[in-house]
Amino acid sequence: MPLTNPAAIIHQNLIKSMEMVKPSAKKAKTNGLLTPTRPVSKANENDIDNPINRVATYVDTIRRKREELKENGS
Amino acid sequence: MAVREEPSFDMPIAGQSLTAELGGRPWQQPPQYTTVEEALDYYIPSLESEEVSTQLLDVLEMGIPVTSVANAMQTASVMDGKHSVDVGVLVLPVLIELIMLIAETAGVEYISGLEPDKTIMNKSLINKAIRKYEKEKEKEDEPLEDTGVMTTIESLQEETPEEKAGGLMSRSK
Repeated sequence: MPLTNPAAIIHQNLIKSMEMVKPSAKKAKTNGLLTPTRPVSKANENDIDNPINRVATYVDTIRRKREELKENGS
Repeated sequence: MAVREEPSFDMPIAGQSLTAELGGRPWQQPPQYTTVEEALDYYIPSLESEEVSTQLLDVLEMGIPVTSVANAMQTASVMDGKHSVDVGVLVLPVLIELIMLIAETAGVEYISGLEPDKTIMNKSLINKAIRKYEKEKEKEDEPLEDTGVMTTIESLQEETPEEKAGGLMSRSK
């Protein structure tokens, strides 16, 4: 059967990727001699030029609004 | 239940899309909005307008899933040359969330369309069911042949009444 409505798949994939990107526990700072001093670039994680990341932020904002509404409503 | 497909004549003829002049259709022109933000600036005011939002809520109350509504909106905009298919796909999750927010604000119950479809079965499950059915059928077939013959013989015996023996030596009841 041909796929006529990709909306659900797109939405679920975005939510999954958003959950994966969510910041986990911060790594403990190491100050050994061989520790890199420059921050490693997180091109994929925080690249605001990437439209997917921007869409993720919009979706996250609206979802938070919805949750607030649910909490206030109930 | 199988639905008989009636021939529909209210459809375009094969190749009809090629009869218009190249660039004559809106989707063959450069899109009006090229970024996600521009497309959202087009969608959000229209969704917030009273006319559209009441129609949207009516549609959701009818039980049409949010995903279908969002997809129809973005497909229509692609057809109108508002934005490209790529931007439409990017905008889809935001539209879904927005529509759900509008529905929740209005207190309308809706079907999101994001629930896993329970009607879709995977192939392994279907094969398992077929194997189970075949085994059961084999089991049923074997004794059926024997009992079937036996039952027919028995029924025939019941149907044919015993001829009354009228001999001198016949037993009287």
